[in-house]
Amino acid sequence: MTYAVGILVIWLTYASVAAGLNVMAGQARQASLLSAAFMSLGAYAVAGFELGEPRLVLMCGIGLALLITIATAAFSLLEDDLFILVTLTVQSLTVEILLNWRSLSGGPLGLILGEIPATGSSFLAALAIAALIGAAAIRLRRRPTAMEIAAVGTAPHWAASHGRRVALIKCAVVTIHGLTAVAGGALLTWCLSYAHPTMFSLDVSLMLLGAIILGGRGPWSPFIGAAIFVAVPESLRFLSVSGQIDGALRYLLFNALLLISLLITVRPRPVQLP
Amino acid sequence: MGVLHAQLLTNAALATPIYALSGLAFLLILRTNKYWPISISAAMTLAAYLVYGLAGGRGGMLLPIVASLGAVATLGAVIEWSVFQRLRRTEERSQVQLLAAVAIAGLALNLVALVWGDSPLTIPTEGAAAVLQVSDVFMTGIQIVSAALAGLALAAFFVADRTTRWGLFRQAVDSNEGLALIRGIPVNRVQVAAGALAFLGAGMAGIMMGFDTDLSPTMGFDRMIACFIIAVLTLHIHPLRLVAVSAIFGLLEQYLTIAVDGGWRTAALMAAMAVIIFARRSALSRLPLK
Repeated sequence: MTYAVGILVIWLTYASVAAGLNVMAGQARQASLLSAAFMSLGAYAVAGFELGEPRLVLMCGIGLALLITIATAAFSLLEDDLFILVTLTVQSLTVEILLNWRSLSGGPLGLILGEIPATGSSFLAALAIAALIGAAAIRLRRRPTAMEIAAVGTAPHWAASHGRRVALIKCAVVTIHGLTAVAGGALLTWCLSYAHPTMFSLDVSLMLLGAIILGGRGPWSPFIGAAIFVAVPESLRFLSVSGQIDGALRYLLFNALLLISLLITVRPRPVQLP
Repeated sequence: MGVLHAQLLTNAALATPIYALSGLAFLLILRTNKYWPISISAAMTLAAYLVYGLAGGRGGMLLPIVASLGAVATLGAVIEWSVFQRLRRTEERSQVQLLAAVAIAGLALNLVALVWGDSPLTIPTEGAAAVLQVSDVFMTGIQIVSAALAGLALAAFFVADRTTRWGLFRQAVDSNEGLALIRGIPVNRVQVAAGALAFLGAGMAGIMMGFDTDLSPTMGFDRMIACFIIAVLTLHIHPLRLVAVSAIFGLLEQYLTIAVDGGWRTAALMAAMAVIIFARRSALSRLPLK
């Protein structure tokens, strides 16, 4: 895979996952740090298929069902920051399980698949998934459902009193967020031909959240934000730093960009007249 | 078997003041500055690594410890002033402050990994790690000194919190920030000082843990889970409750250490953290955050 196409594939993958996350964090106004955990399930499921390990595929399926259940329960029962704390914990827990369940996930060494697919097919697959998810996300913003999602996220009691099925909509939002991330993780592993726990760490979830904050409020925000978050660390390659430093520096930049995006996008509180 | 239980009880007793100190650091920001201070993991990691980095110089361990504590306390004040004071002036919900705290924790973790690498490191302690034996129970000099210093720091904080002007201001902000502002209390300055003090306490706890175990970039984040559990179960800055919860947590963690491997122990604590959030959700949702 050539360098430029590889970067495009990673950008399209992250943009697809960010588009799904945008339904939750942008439209329902509830930030989530579960993106990388969902991605890891898709990635290891693909690895299970490729390596002929049905037990791994089964465990990923069970993990997906568990994660969607926990996230839906947390979205329904907990408010704002408590939900984020649960997602932060479950995200970190997923990585710990991947690191420690060596017989199933390969532990810290990860899993290496067969041959890397051809450049053209990787790019076309990434493009197709990004186009599909992007089109669905844009369509979701225009339909009346968008209003329902916003109402459920910002004023659930009001939405319930107006006959909206709050629990069902919250479950749907979490499922959209989860399944788009699973698709992204599966695509990434298939294209790179390996799965490793550090590919799905908390830093990646933070990066995806930062991408939709920095990308702005428009329908293309996940694509713009993901482009910034992919392009800035990639520029480090031209500084010729070694592999390990590259990894730490990359995640350092992700966190710095998230912090900056939070600081520059918040608006001052308006003066309240008596 | 009796010796094992005695050893675990001793370890838990010696770790209790350190857990209480880190739990207090977490609670101090949670109650006074009104956000979830995941960022204190940065103070723990940075303080321990700074001591490691400075330990090669002259003057023994005292100078590196004082310098690193000064650095993390300053960092706490700067973060409070430049990030959280700014975010508090906006109309965003408290989740923005939480995300900023998580980003700061991630920044520190990756900064440490960038400077010192991912491999475990040990702070050179020379003769200070002498092992003492009482009956069949073993303990190190560092464990005893750390426990005593943490206990002193806790006592000093609670005396200052109840007798000094700043302590009374802090309690006023803790119980009702709006009313404190109306009464002319400099809320912003109280919160900046609370941020600095919390980072100082967390830094002390981080250094004590760094003397006892190997350093790794994720050490602060792993320890933050313990702080979180202790703080959520305590929920108020109350000395007896804080020490009791820390003692129970320390004992349970000792038994967890012999029951499961290191990696699974962290996973078990994370699962416990998620369960505690669900179980204490009504109490937690009443916290006046933001």
